[in-house]
Amino acid sequence: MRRITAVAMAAAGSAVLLAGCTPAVPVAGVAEPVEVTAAVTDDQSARVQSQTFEELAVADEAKSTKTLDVRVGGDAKVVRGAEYKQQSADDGPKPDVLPADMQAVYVTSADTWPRVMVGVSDQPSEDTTPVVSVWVQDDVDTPYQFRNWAHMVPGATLPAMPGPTVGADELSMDSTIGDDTLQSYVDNYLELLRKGKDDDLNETFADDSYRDQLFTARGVLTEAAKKADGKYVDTVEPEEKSTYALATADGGALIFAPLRIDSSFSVEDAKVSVPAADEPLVDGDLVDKVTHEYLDMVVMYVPPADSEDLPAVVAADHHLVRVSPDGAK
Amino acid sequence: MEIFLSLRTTGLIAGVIGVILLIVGFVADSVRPPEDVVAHADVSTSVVVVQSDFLTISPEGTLSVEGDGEIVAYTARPVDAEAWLAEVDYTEVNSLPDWEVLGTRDVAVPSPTPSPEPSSSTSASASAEAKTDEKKETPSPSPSPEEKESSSASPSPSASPEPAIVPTEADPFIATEGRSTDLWRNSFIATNRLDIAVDSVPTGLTLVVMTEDGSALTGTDLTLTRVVNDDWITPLLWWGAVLVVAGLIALVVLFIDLRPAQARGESWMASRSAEKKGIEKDGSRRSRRAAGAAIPQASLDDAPAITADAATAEEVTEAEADAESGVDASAESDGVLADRDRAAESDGVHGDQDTHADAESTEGVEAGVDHVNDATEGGPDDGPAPDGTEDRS
Repeated sequence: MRRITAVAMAAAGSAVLLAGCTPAVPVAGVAEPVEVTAAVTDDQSARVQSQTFEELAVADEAKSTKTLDVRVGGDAKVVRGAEYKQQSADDGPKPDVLPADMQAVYVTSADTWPRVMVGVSDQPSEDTTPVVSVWVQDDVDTPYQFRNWAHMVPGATLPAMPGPTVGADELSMDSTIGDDTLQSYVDNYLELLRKGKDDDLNETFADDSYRDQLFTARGVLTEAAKKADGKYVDTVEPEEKSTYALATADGGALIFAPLRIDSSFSVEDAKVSVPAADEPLVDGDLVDKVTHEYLDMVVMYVPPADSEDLPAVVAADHHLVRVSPDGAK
Repeated sequence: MEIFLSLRTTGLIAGVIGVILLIVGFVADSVRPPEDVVAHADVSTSVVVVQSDFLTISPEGTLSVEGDGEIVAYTARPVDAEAWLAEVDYTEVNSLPDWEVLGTRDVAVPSPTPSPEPSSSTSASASAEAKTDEKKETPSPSPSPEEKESSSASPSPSASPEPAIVPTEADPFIATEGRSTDLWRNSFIATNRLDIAVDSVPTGLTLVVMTEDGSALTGTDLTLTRVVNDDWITPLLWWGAVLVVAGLIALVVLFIDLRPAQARGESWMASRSAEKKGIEKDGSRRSRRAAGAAIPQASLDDAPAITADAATAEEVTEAEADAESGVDASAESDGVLADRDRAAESDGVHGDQDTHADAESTEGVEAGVDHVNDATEGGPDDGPAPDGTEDRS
């Protein structure tokens, strides 16, 4: 009996020993956080850019927007189409050169959609400033799409942005800097564009060549319309749904605001005409009134609240997309 | 003889212990779990998802997914993957309940809720009529506008799906059902079985595995490395073997009559001892005893040789008393108490080694002689000690 007990004890001891040798089933821990918290990595953004400019190259070659399906859309597709039409005219202007090489890419860290990616190209030529390009991803199922571009305002400087590893916060237009919302900055600038340089708002924004050219053109056309007993009216409207903002490194904001500007020129007892380069864009028969429709892009830098700098438009383009006798469709 | 017995017994005990060690070692070796483990789970969906946290279970392991045809795997930010997965049924590998079993969770896209509006408009009804009988048996509760379009027979080009991004060498991402691939950061692709080293998946990203054609995957494996604390087994076996060998030797010796050898050994020891006697150092107690010259010749028959001038009658009486009792037999002074230890051992009394007067020493010498004689003649077993006490042995 004692022997049996001893053997049993030895067996039990062995079992305990062996059980101690077998480790427990591992349990999942907490993974290290994502290294690149930005919405897209360098590789992802490079892939988007590459496919975008491949698609653009094909379209440029064909002078047609039919192939602009995946990576190019929105206003960019419309503007590019207008440029192809103008290019088809005798001595028509060539489409804007959009360099594929970027000197900076701003990405968002957003977890929601839509998301924005911004590229600042190399300088295309000595006479042309770098191009600020805007891609937008509407939702997880749609690709980043090239929606707008604008050349930098001569002399302007883009603010420092968070690096591509962390990405920039995507700000809603309701976000505030100081006491004002981002939307109010855009609204004030549009109001300035409507009222002209004599308005008090002119002092609240840094000088930029974009609005200077707009005011100059307005003055010339208004004067010309007066001489013809006609009238010149332009309207400036924002595309709020397509307006985005990224937080800058210094606590400010970089706003990408597409605008729609219609310039109507009418004369009395006469027939209007348009320059030869704009002829391909004419949609209809022009008699005594002509409306030029523009899809503009304004990039505005709003400095942080404690800054003494004024909000400034750092990039803007005035893209003619349609000429019609009766205004916007 | 006793030494041999104890060695043999010790060897036998060692042998028994060795057998136990070998048994434990072999049992442990036989039931030792393998270090490389493959945990498996069957899968029936076309998409398998593994969150980054789960991959921490086996950072050096390999995740495998099986299916028919091209299998692709992508990584994405968890929030992006979650948004993408909102529209697909998938299986999430999320636990390891056992070493050989992967825990999974099937997630289905919520079915569309019935629309409260009576927007099952004329067009919807019309298109529903165009459906086949089979579709009528399983009517959709509330067809979405897209479903309405797809159910109609309109050849309108607007009904065609959004063109998919065609994968190229520069873009290895394959669009799934026209959905964007911009959220994917890394890609893996293989045919029928896709093996992905866990450490090749960037930390913090969710892994999404799917078939290219949308067919169901069949299973997924995760190789694990199980760290078994078995370093003690091999030494245990070696120690057991050594002890068993020792036990076997002891067992063999048990069946051999060693008495002749022991006798030879004892005689050899004795002879060696005798030889030693011949080379005793001069002046040693043994040599002096062998020579006998140094032992005072005391006549037991005569009266104690006491020098009159050295002792009074009282001293003599005292000396005799000491001699009889054997107590405090001061031996150091007589130089003969070579076998003092033995004498002390025999009478069981320890001398206090006090030096006495010469007369006392003399008497002590005599007493010592008695002891010496006792010891020489009979040894400890030969009778009572001078003090009358019985010898211990």
